[in-house]
Amino acid sequence: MTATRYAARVVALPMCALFEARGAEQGLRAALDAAGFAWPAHSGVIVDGLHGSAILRFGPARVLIRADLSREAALADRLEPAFATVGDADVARVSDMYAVFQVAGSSAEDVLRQGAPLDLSADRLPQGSVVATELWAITAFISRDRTAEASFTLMVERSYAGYVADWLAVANGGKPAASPGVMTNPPRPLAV
Amino acid sequence: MTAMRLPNGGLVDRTQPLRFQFDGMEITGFAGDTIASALLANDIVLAGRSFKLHRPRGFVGAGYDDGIMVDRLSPRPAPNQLAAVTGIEPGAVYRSVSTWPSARRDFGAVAGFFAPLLPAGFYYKTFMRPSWHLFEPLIRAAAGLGRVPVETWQPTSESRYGDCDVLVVGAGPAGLAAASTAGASGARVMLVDDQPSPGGRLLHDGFADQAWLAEMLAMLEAMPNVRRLPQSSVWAYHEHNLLTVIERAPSDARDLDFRTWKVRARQVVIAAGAQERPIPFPDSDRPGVMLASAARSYLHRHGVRVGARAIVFTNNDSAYATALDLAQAGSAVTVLDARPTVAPEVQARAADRGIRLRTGAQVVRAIGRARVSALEFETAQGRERLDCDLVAVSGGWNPAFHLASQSRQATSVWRPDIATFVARHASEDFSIAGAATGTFGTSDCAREGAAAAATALGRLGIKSPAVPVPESGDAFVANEVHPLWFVPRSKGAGKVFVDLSGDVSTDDLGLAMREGYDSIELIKRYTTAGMGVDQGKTGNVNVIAVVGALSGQPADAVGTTTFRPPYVPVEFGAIAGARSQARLYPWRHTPLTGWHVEQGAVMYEAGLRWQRPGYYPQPGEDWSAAAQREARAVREGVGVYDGTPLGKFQLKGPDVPRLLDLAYVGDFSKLKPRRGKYSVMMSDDGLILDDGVTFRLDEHRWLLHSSTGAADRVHGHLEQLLQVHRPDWRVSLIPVTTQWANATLCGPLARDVLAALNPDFDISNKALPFMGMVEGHVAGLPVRVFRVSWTGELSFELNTPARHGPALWQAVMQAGARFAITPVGSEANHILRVEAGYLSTGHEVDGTADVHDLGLSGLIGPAKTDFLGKRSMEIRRRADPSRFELVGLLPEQGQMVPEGAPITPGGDRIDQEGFVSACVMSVAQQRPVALGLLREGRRRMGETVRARVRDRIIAMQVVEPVFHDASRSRVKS
Repeated sequence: MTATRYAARVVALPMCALFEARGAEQGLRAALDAAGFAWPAHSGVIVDGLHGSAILRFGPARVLIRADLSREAALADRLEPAFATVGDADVARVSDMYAVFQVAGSSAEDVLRQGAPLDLSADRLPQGSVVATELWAITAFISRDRTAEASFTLMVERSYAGYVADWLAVANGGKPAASPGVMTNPPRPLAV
Repeated sequence: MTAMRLPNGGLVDRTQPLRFQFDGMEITGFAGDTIASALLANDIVLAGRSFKLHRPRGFVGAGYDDGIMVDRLSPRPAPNQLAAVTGIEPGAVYRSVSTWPSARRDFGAVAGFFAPLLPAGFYYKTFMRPSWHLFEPLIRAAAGLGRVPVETWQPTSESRYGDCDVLVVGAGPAGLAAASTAGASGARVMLVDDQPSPGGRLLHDGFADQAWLAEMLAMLEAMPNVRRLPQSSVWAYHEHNLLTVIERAPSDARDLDFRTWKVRARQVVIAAGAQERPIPFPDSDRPGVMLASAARSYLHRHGVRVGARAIVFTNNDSAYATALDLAQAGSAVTVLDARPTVAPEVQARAADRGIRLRTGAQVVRAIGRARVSALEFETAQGRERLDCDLVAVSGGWNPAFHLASQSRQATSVWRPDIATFVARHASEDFSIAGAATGTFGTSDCAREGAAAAATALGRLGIKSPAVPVPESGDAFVANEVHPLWFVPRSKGAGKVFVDLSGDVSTDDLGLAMREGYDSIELIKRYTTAGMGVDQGKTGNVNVIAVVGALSGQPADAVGTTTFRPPYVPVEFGAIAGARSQARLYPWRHTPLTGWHVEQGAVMYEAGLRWQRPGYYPQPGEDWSAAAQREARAVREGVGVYDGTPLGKFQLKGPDVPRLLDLAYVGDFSKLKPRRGKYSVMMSDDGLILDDGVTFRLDEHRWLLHSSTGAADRVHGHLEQLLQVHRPDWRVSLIPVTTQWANATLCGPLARDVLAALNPDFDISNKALPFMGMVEGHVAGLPVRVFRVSWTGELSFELNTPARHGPALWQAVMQAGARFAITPVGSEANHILRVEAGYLSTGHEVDGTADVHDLGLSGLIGPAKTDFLGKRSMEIRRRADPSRFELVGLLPEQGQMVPEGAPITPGGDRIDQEGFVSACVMSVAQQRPVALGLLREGRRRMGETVRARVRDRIIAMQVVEPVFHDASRSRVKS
């Protein structure tokens, strides 16, 4: 008998290097090109970039560049000068803003579908694609990894990391994660 | 003993006897029994009492059409378990609902003597003097449903989303054919059925089709693209093919009690079958009177023969199957057929089994109280009486198209041949097949199911394969029904109950109509017909027909009521899933939360899901003492608070100044790099949306700060401006709120603490003036420092990438130790900002105030000709110049005033002329001080106004809205 209801493995990954680039499509493309990065052909597509990075595109005007944290300085050295030359596109370091989780195994979808209304099946979210969707009432980026086994990478705003970790544990059928410092109601009644 | 378990037969597992208790009696059943079947097997026919009158009641149906409930006292106490669908558990203790001491001997039966005082709608008429509340507790205690157990137990539930190409509701012949067809095409299929085993009525009918059933099951098992959900019910059909399903005891997750699915199906096939309806007659609610199909179901599914001397009362052929099977099982059977003639082949089959048949028969009344013991009936030959222990009734079949109706894409239409309503729809989203459309033969149902699936697949552009359908003919189907809606009361006969769950009789329906409730929707609500446990599954059509008969109209002219979810009862715990405790709502933490918690901070939400420290109580302190101490530390020394949640947006582009000038009332185009400006953001209806400080980082980049609680609103507002209203403007906007952690030093000694952090930049007032910024390092950590203040004291906001947040905070506490630095929570911050007269979104900025109301006219750039909201604001002010304006208030006699308290003329209970937006115990003035909005407040300085707090009136003096350092000399020091 497994300790959890599902056989999914949930792992909180270490901080990664993340840069967010936004702007008019033309300027965004030009800046990325100047920095030496490929432009993903479609929204929702992940392409490989320099320094082992992955470029995730969301719509015409938004891109995330993700890599191992050790590459953060190298990426900054490429991206910041390139964007400085373009007037209507910008890049910001957002490595500290996101927490990253990996959910893998044959029942990974069983876990994630408890929070995500979007169809995450392999033919709707193939490997190498990413989608921004709701996950337990917050925004999450979910991508299907290029692995033999079913595996998803989740990115959520870091401030929600504890909340998401708790949900992932419970959705997997395990015990709730400890959540000190969470109270749903103010403690003091107003004396009238 | 008359109801009994037969030595053979049924689908129960006779190798697994299970013992349980019901109303104190020890009962043995088998694995696979429901509570109902196990009780019947032990000849327990009286299992409950009616909702209002506590009449003895027995099982009428064998599924969700039955209304008998029991409370499970252990294990896992839970009220209102439907006995006919809930499986027995070993060692369980059940008791009948709302009875005392038991269903058999219920004290509540005295309610029967008060029946004349308890007609429909009695609670509007009787028990009103001297006060309804005098009688209410007794009536509520006596009525209806089980009590929520005192012991806390939560089911283990999961709530999840699903998607499929075709969702099939029901696994009878039509549903199985539909699912097999859809599955064989390769489409993603979900097959939902409320029974533990698929087959629908084939489990107690159509034994010639068992081979076909086995073939279908084998096909479905072999299809990985088909997901079967047994013991599951589709209980709601929402817009755009979103359906809610409850899966009970899922086989793939043994620890779960429930799984709730929210399924988006591209196509739906509703093959939910049909429900048999009774023929109500006087006292037909007695235990032992049940639906003919139920008697057959108990016989074949559970091996229980529910009566040895059975009378079958019917107006259609389908009940003959029950008669023949009961006779085969050894019952002495008489059929009373209301029709004047019966087909010869049917008569012959009945005669072969030794069944007596009387045509043109009408039951007059049932005899017996705790159990039916005889029937009186009339034929052309006159009135007769026949002893019995079971009456199996069939008045026809009602197609179950409730879900189609819930989708709001179907209406009901009358079919006279089967004397009931069926669905009419032209939706492209779903199909209905089988008995749910009024088709009753097995082969026909299967063919319709396959065709419905083919239609669904066609709509998806998928080719459908052929699947086999059973070819055997059914002997008895209700293809023609001789309408008989009820048998009226004759003199001396008992009531005719049409809706058993609500104790609604024909008398009640007549009374409602005489009192003027002339539409079926009003009659439903007034009498509660159709509102009980079975939601009218067996009674609705009879109610409609009775109303028609009493009003002289056909049933189809009366119409149906509106079907709404839930189709079956659903536990709240199942809907909630795992949403409890910390998972009830999203919550957010800053990188410094660990430190706050370690220091004993009391944490709670303070804006946009952020869990923040409210105060840091020391031993012996309550919240007020802690907040006072922290606020005093800021006024007299130095404090530090976690300002991480403040909204932050990085802007870049040549049109950023234009955007800021449009969105804010201030003028940003001349702002120099490294300088900030405080301004107010308006919505296009001229009211304040937010306030905040925007800094120009360099020639091209800006950092816009919003308030914590308005961050998402401001982001959406700016994106709408850029994407919709000004798509040609060259601006990029990147939210960076949580990229930065923030430790804000505040107080007269703030600069001293900053100096102790070894900054590599000049922190003098000249180099870093108020509203200035600098980037550099403190304690070896990269920081951006902003000189803004929200406390009315010298302040430095130290922002560092969030990964350095804990290290920065530690460094600040270490450096500040010799200055007795104090961590400051939201409560103290509130005191400080009220003293300083600073605004707060949600208090003074309440969605009705504009920039002039709050005394901020000076923020409007003198050279600005326009900004968002300007015109609306001016039009509003011109139309009503008498505005609520920001004032300070000094409550008399040291009284605190609740925030939100209305200010009324004289303190009277009349329309308010203002309200108190905030009230705190000021550390600067050692007394309560308040801010408020008061009509024409600025010209009423010195006046005394009055706040109304329930029955108290609190006098307050109107003063300027600032109580500390009005010149802002400390802020700018």
